[in-house]
Amino acid sequence: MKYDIAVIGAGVVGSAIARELSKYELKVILIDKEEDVSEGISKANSGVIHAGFNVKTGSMKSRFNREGLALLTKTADELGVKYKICRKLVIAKNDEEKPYLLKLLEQGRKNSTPGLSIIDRETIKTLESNIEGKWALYSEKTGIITPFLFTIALAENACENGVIVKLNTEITKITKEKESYKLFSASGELISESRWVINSAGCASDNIASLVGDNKFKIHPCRGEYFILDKAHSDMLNMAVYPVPPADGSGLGVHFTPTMNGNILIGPSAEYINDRDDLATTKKTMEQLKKEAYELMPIIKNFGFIKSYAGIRPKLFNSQSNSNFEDFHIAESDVNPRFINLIGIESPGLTSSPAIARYIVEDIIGEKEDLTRKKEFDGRWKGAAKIYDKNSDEYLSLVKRDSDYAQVVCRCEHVTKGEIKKALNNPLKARSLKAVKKRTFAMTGRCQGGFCLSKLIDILQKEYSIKTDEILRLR
Amino acid sequence: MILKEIDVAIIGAGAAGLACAIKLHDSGIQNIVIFERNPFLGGILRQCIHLGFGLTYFNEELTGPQYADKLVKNIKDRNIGCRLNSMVLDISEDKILTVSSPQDGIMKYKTRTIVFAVGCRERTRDNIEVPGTRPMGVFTAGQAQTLINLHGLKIGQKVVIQGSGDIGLIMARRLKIEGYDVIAVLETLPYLSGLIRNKVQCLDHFGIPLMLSSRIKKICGRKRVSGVYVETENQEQYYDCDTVLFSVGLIPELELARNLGLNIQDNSNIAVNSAFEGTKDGIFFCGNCLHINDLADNASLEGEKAASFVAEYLRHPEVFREGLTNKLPYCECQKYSQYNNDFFYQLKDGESLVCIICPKSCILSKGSNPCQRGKDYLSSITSEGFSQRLTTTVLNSQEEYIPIVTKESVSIESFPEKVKELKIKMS
Ligand SMILES: Cc1cc2nc3c(=O)[nH]c(=O)nc-3n(C[C@H](O)[C@H](O)[C@H](O)COP(=O)(O)OP(=O)(O)OC[C@H]3O[C@@H](n4cnc5c(N)ncnc54)[C@H](O)[C@@H]3O)c2cc1C
Ligand SMILES: Cc1cc2nc3c(=O)[nH]c(=O)nc-3n(C[C@H](O)[C@H](O)[C@H](O)COP(=O)(O)OP(=O)(O)OC[C@H]3O[C@@H](n4cnc5c(N)ncnc54)[C@H](O)[C@@H]3O)c2cc1C
Repeated sequence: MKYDIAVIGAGVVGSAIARELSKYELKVILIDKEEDVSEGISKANSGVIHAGFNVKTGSMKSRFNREGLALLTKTADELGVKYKICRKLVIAKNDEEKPYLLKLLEQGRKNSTPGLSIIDRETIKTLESNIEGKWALYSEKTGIITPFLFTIALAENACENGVIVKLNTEITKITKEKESYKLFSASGELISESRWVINSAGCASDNIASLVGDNKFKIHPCRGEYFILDKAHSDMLNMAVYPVPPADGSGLGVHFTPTMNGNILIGPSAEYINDRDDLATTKKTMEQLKKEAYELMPIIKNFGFIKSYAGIRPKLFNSQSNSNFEDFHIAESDVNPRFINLIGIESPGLTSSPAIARYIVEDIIGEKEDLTRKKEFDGRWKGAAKIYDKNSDEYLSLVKRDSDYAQVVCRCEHVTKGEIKKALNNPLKARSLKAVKKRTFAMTGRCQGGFCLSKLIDILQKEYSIKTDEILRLR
Repeated sequence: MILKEIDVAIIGAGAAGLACAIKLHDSGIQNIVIFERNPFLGGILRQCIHLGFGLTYFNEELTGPQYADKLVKNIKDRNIGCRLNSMVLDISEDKILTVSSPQDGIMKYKTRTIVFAVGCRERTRDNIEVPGTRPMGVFTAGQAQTLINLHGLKIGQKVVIQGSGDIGLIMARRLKIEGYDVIAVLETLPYLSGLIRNKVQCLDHFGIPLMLSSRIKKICGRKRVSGVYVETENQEQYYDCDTVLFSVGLIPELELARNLGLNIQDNSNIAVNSAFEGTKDGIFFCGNCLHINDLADNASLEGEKAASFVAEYLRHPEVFREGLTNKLPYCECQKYSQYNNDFFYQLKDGESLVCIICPKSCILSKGSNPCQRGKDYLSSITSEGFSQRLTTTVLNSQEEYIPIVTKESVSIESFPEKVKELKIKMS
């Protein structure tokens, strides 16, 4: 129950911090209210590794984006999580929009963003034949990563290196003791007592801060909806394609993003809402998304959508605010010593996460504590839920040893029972349909579990003794 | 890697694939293998435990599993090779199949011809872009059918069904029999899309409302469904429920065919010539992957037809192509009848009744002259109210869910009792 550090919230930020902490001789607990890590903002976003030209020069966003670009790819390599530097275009439909591209280019230069240039219609066509536009800002260093898989890798690797990960635990009360903080769950149970607390609770981070009397933060939830396109269309697009964004600072505009798994995302919209848990998609926005998407890529009209979803931006301003830019708030609380708040971590939070983690550990905690490096730290994600290339020799020899690897469970994404079981044996003991889905992509294909749902329930029931009621959330 | 050489590879052991194999065998082509990714033969028939199969193909009314068993017996009698748990993953240009199965690992088969009998998949909530949250409790009707009939699972309590196709109607009754609260079946169109017989038998007899011109506008609930907003002709109403089924159409399964580079129209229709052959030599299609069959009997008949073309192709490849016409895509689909609202009002006043004995759904009234079956049906209602043969599943001593059907009709009122009695007696 006694820890050096408690981290509230196992999104990409909290998980990156926990993993960074696991490099040192520290007792750390990572707590999340959901049944698995990465169930918040880190699950539903564009998954873009931003190059860094979009953010205001001199801001924390710009600093962590710049540092994060290099550090994220390095961390992903260490863990063994795939990413791709797929490049990006920001499209100006006409000459009137061109000045905006020049502004971005200038901002990018100031932010030391590598690999930027302005290109014309012909060059756009050679890069992306299906995209309509007169001018574009071309970014060679923008990439993509599967955000939830990266988060899972961080959390599971932290766990492999000694961090205690406590799921299904919502922190609803915090008491301030002399030298420590006590965290309590909704059921009144004392979860941890620790010298340091890190509040990386995403959309709920303002509430967590106010649990210890720090009431100055207010998050304005801003919902972004997406469509996912059928994989059959994956060859329509090579890189991320963005429009010139709306001026209100709500987001980057409806864009196309290829995913690591071979789908194309369309979105996100931007809509301020009252309920920060309201992840519903709406007819109105769906129609709007389609309309905007058709403008950039007219050929998209007759494509099939396999799924829609929504994510929530934790904004520190809204349409009524005076400003249309707020920086990340990342600092030790001025009223609560050793209580670190991370608030308003919206885009480019994913890209920035490893750099933010290093800053927290080395510059904030390291400033006050003597940190000793752990010799046995191993940055490789050993529990990786591996999806094999079914033509590889590695896979073919595995099949000979374990027949589960020849039993196809999800036909659309071609996931075998062996891979499913590996994913379910994760060190976090996250054992649910969602846990399988995020780690293996089973049920995410065009039939959306029509074929494999019953088989997955069977595996959870028979091999892990989980009751159907629990699997289907009937209780 | 082992390379086995065969004359015909039949992919899929449903009503179409099995009938095709039997016919091929009987016409002397015996170096055939059926590949089936499930651990059983019969395809979709196994989960269709209700009656309504076999009237044309076997001349008697059967449940899906009974229909499958008849085909399987014919397969066994002929010793036709079947590879179960075997998923065909890939087919190369020169017709080499890569098959994955726990018993054999990854195997390769070289074949002279291929028959696709891979069936269909269901359209999902996302395909029809229904907004709202994404909680547990949203299923396709066939998915629910699998979970309930093959795995004996309880998937919820209060259910709203979108889609009045036959599967939606049949699932409404099935859920009711299992003790679920079925709030309504919604249909976007202003008319029923399934067979009238199924509406009468599955909804009317069980007092389940059908709401026409109605659609789910929004799904609510965070972890589990908590309710739905339903729009009916510009009126919106909220219904409390924990489960939503979508029965909104079937799409031919054409992924393998697509990878092979065959011509597919509108993303869902395989282009074939009059011999059911796709745009590559020696690759044939039948059953629901060719086009959606309402009746298993038709899928089987199509399988037999395909068999005769394959036999012809193998025997006389040089003359096979003569006289073939291109029908791109194949569109000899069954005709859909459309019914208007008025029809149901007629039903309610008791003057006339829909005969539910066969899919023809004849209207019976005082003056009409029904067939013998229709007469039997009429006399059965006058004597004891509505009655049907009851189909359900029971758990046997080996912990398997076994589909059962009563020999005689049972009055609808006594269904709940009867179900209880059967479940106790059989376990
Ligand atoms: C639409 C959209 C698109 C985006 N696109 C990009 C992009 O392309 N590139 C990029 O770099 N960034 C992008 N971002 C930003 C990025 O996704 C976020 O910055 C990042 O995911 C934030 O991570 P987090 O860990 O702070 O929050 P979260 O992932 O939300 O983690 C917070 C966690 O705290 C838990 N929690 C909350 N309350 C409690 C409690 N009381 N007790 C215990 N646990 C609690 C939650 O369950 C959650 O798991 C996007 C964001 C959005 C919304
Ligand atoms: C839910 C539902 C209810 C129905 N109710 C009725 C009814 O009441 N009365 C009636 O007459 N008809 C009914 N039908 C229609 C009828 O059952 C079907 O049209 C018929 O059974 C279809 O047969 P099939 O052989 O084309 O397809 P299926 O039965 O679907 O068979 C296809 C087989 O191919 C296998 N397969 C697919 N891909 C691969 C692969 N790559 N490798 C190996 N195997 C593969 C599948 O596992 C499956 O077993 C219903 C259909 C459905 C879907």
